[in-house]
Amino acid sequence: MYEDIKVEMVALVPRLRRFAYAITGSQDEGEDLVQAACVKALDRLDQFKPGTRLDSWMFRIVQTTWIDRVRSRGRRGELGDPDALERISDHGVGARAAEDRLTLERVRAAMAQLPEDQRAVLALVAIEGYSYKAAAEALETPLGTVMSRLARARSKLLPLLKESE
Amino acid sequence: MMPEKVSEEQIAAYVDGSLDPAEAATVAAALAQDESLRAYAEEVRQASRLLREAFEEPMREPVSADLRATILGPSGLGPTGSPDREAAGPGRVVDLAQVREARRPWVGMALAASIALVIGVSATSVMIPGGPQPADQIAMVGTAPVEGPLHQALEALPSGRISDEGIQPMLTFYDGADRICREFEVIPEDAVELAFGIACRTGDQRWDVEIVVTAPKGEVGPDGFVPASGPGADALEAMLDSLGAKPAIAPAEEAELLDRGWR
Repeated sequence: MYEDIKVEMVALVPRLRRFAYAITGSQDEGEDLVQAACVKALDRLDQFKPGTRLDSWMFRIVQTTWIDRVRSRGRRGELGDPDALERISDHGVGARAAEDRLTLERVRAAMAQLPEDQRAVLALVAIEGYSYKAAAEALETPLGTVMSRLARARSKLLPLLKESE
Repeated sequence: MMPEKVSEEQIAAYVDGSLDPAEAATVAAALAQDESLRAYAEEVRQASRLLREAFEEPMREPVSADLRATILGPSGLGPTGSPDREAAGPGRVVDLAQVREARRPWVGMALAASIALVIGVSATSVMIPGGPQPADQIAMVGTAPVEGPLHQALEALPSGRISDEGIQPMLTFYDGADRICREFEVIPEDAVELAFGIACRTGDQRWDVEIVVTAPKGEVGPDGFVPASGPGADALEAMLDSLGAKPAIAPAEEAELLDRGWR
């Protein structure tokens, strides 16, 4: 049963990992999170509504699994490391490629400073290209909340990225 | 400063493509008139681009065999203990697509594209004297000729790559006798048939083709799989069983083997 959904789920894995990387700030953690989310999803495939977006359903499970982890581990402090940005703000070294890498590290550090719920919205909209409405449905959050989270996330993120230019 | 009429949120929503047409037109008009608004729109755009780049890496990595097995079930034939599987006896019809999907550790997603590529690319790049060579002539049971395209492809190509002749190694595994074996596909230009098979490396550095299964090319599904059931699939499945095929090895391990000349 559900063979089609499972095959589609395998195909979604890279995107789930990208999303998980964006919200956890760690590729390893993200990989582990996706694994856990898939197990969870497989347990409740009967709850997936055919005809709706499997990716949205899976993003939602990844996000809730992550929130559960954050709560149970009390990991928040580890993530939004305010020093991270300072440590890598050493400009003007190396070739263009190294600068690019540095910029992307700063982007990741800036993302890590955002609250969990803002990170998830930003990941869906900016990275996955979700419309606000689709993001609201995926995260089971009111549209207005999605918009205000996004606005807060950007008002914090944009100045940080500007500095890095 | 922002004029009263268009907020930063509206500009961001415009960049995000989340405005209705009327509102989008209002923002577009405002942007056209105000350089500082355009600068903000560009900032939002740039931030999204950077975010995509910053978290892009997992997109390029193969899906691990573990996770694949978790999702598709250990054998890929369905959930373990499902009634179908329990009831399956000799002579059952095997869904070859699933068998192979489960055995494939990482080519997975790229496959649909790569098969399209085989057909697309080979249509322009295959140059075999005397016209197209049928798939079943490129791959025949027995030792592959050292000078032939199959030997060259099995010897030199990582799984997922396609030779000019349309030969694509799909995955690599060890058999029960610890021989290195590879599943491959052959889809030559203009051929009405495609072939897939298994070849194992011999002690004298050759590839013994254990089995070749052909299928009409027209039956390749949009996902790149032959919707195989019936004798061909059974034969391939039976061959895998009789070889004692172990799960496919990871890309890194395969790359090492390839570097060492499969020794």
